Amino acid sequence: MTSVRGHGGRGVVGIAAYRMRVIQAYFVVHLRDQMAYLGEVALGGIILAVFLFVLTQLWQATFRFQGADTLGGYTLAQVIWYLVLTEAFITSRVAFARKIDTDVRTGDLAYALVRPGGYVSAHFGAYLAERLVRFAFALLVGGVLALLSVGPVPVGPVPLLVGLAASLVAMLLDFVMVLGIGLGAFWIEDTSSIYLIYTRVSMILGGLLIPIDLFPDTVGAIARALPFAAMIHGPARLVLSSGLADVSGLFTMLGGSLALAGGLVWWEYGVARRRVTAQGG
Amino acid sequence: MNVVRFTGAYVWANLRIALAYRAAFFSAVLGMVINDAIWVVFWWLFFTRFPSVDGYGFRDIVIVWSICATAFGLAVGLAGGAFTLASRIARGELDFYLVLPKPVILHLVVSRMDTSGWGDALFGVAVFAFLASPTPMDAVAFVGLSLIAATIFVSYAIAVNSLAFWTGRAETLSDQLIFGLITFATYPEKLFTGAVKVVLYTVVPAGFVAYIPVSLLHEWDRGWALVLLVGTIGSISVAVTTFTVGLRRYQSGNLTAMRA
Repeated sequence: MTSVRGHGGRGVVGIAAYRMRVIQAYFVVHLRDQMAYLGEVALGGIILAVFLFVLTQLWQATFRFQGADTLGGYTLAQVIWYLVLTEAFITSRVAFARKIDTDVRTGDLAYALVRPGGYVSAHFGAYLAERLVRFAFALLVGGVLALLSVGPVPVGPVPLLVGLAASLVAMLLDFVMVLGIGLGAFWIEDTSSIYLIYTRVSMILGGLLIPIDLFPDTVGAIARALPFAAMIHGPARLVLSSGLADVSGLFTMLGGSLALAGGLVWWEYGVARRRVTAQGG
Repeated sequence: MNVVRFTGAYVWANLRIALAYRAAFFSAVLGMVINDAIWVVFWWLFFTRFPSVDGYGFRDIVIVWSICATAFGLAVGLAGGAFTLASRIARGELDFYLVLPKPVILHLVVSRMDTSGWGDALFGVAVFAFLASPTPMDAVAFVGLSLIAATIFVSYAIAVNSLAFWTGRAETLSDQLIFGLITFATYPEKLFTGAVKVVLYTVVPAGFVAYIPVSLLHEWDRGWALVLLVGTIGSISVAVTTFTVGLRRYQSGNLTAMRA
């Protein structure tokens, strides 16, 4: 969104190509950075393992106590694999709103804006690298735990690939939303509590801990009308389903939400940039 | 008494500093209240679908959450320094505390306040008052048990953060261990059996932070109260010993800083 004239050739295509190269460059640098600190990423797996262990115990007790083979159309094994997929999405989140928040409050944003490549492109490249490494690691840890506790579940290659593609779009939507929250620092002192609320609301209404099919009807209807269900529940449900039912609805919701959130954040970024004031020092 | 006055003065000073940024303070408190409320909503959704799991119902989990939230809020609100100890050890920032006459560990833990902890405490008390339908005796027991659980939270934080004396960097590890304790403590005890249960009454003291206090709130039992007392003294002893032994390995960062 910063000026790229002179860097990317001519027209919209040239600018887009230049942006892609910037994103790719930041992606590669941050991917190497993540690989250099794999130990830190692995430590993050401890809490994921604890969380999945506790939830596995909870759902095992629930199935036992209900005396049912399936609940809401899910077997116990499917619920546990569902949790692996939703947890992988949530625990791979990158809290870069805090970085934007700090940049705004300290004035570092003014320096970042004049760097070639663009502030948002730089954040997106870094975000994607960190997020994908964390996501892959969470899937690995969660997958091993799920295999040990409930064994494998049948998963078709097409639902798996389409579900992962939906997760990628959901990550992009998450990026846009978190960017919007971080830019809120232009108007309020500290955006960390807004980010916290965003993560918690999306966890619940996204069906992180309970598949939305098991929600009470009214709450389930509200959850399905919001983008969080498409971001978290949708891809997990798709991977575990035998076909591609509702896939168009899922991508329509993700795409529509992305267009709406993208438009709003684009406008917010434009307004925010006009509020940047250099204070010297 | 001197120690109590010293602690009170530090807490008051920390609170005044936090309140200097009033909007940030209240947004942190409100954010944490909403965060905790979301978890109770999760349990409400769960128990709406499955009214009882192995004898556990919504009211039981509300009491678990009220004790844990209040205790953790008090711990990070009054003794937030215990939760940031690892980074300060790694950066060699303990010099200031070592040269003063006050007990080093006490001074370190009360020197910081996490303002969001007041949101946890507020949430815990409010939930207990409105959803657990307590009698006056329940309320008194709730306050006492929350303070004991807070003491164990602080002790655990000191112990796991003190690992930094041996490992250098232990921030991520200690954060994960504390988060692990909170996770185990906020789920029904009946989910865990065998070796896991042993771990939850030793290495990860969720039993002392939540399970025993909650069972005492349900029904007073002198035997369990005694176990809780022994567990609390044990936690404090482990924390002080770990910190004291670790401190012998401490190396200053030769950091020059102004404290105003």
